[in-house]
Amino acid sequence: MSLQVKKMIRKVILNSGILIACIILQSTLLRYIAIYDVIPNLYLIYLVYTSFHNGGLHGTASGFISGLVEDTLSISPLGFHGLIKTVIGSLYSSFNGLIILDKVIIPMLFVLVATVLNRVLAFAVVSIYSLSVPAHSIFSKYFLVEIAYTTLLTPFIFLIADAIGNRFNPRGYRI
Amino acid sequence: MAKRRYSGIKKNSKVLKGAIICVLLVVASLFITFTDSPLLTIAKNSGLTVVSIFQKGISSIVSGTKGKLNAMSELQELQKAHDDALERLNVYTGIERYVTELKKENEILRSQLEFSGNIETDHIPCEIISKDPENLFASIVIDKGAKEGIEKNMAVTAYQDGIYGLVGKVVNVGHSSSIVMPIFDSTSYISARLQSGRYEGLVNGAGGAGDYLIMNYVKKTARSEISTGDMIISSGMKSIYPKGLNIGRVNSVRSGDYDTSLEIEIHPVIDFSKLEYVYVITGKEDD
Repeated sequence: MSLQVKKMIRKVILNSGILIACIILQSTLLRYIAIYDVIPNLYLIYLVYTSFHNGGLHGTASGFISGLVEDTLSISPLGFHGLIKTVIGSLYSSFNGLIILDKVIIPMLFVLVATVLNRVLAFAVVSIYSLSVPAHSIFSKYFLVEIAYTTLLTPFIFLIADAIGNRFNPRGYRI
Repeated sequence: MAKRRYSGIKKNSKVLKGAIICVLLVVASLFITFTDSPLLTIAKNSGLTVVSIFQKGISSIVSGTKGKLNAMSELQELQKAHDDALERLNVYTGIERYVTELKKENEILRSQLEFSGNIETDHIPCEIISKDPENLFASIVIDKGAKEGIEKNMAVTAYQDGIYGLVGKVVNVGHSSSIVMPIFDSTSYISARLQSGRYEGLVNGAGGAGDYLIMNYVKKTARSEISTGDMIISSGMKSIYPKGLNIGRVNSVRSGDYDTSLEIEIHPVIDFSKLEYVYVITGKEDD
């Protein structure tokens, strides 16, 4: 196995670990800062961040692994979030090197689209597989709260992720 | 030459990337398709068992911190409550004799009527350790699982503001944690009846954040006997939910001109956003 592949696997494992930590935080601590019972989607923000910054197969693999873990904690069938997060991770990985990120607007736009895409894909999967899972409505007022809450938090999460990446590797290696 | 080789490598890399994405999507799709297979159920429950260990850890740290922060104000409140309790004790001492007599009378009457209401259902007290990681679903994770005797489809209840109400049912069971589906989920159906008028119907979750439920198939002739605030209870008919559990109160009643039944909007007795502890009914009944 080449050094490059080893490095990539290490990065995928590390990023999946961070994403799983986000899922655990979201299901426990973040409910204390919920607005109208809606929590910000920290996990999705970090998935967008890591997929875009690392490119290649990082977003795909990390999204798949963390999505499966999310399924074990959710009422959804195994593979539901795995499928959705694989698509989102792959999509944002493909933007790597094509778009130059600023600090606020583009990250917010990225996450806004990802939040809508996450919900649209969820409904597509529910419809295609005729799943009897109790998914909340895409048009509910709570979804608008989720979009606003998650989008507004994005610049801060991107800043924190950047700071952590730079601390672990000052030469520009991002986690 | 080098440029051609570079473009060849790049093309191969893209093909490989595409192939890996397709494989992962197919694997995820197969998981969804065969979600009810025993192997995947075991995998899901095992994952729940492992990850819920971390959730339990965070949950207990949060509880501990909250407890310490509240300790000071609680001490003052306790002192006040203690003084109040002493006053009340004096009053209750007099009432106690009267209650003892009533109990005896009640026991005699129950035995005469062969009343089955003295049967109490076995339950397991549980703490909510987490909720669904995203806002898409509304599941709840509790800190007890197969180890404590919890099984799939057991009814879950809670005691809140002096009312014992229905919360939902167990849908996934890990070794020491379980996932509960609340009654307001759109796939939840409960056979129910009006406590006062005794009319039967079917309560269905309306999704959302647990604001309201819908009761269908109630006879239109019952319209005059239903008023806002009436309690809806589980009827226990061919259902996993035991009889007589409080579900909610009537909020509004609707009916179209050509409909044969009523549609009743119910406000649940349990406030799901404040829920911390629940009771899983094991289904065994003890005298």
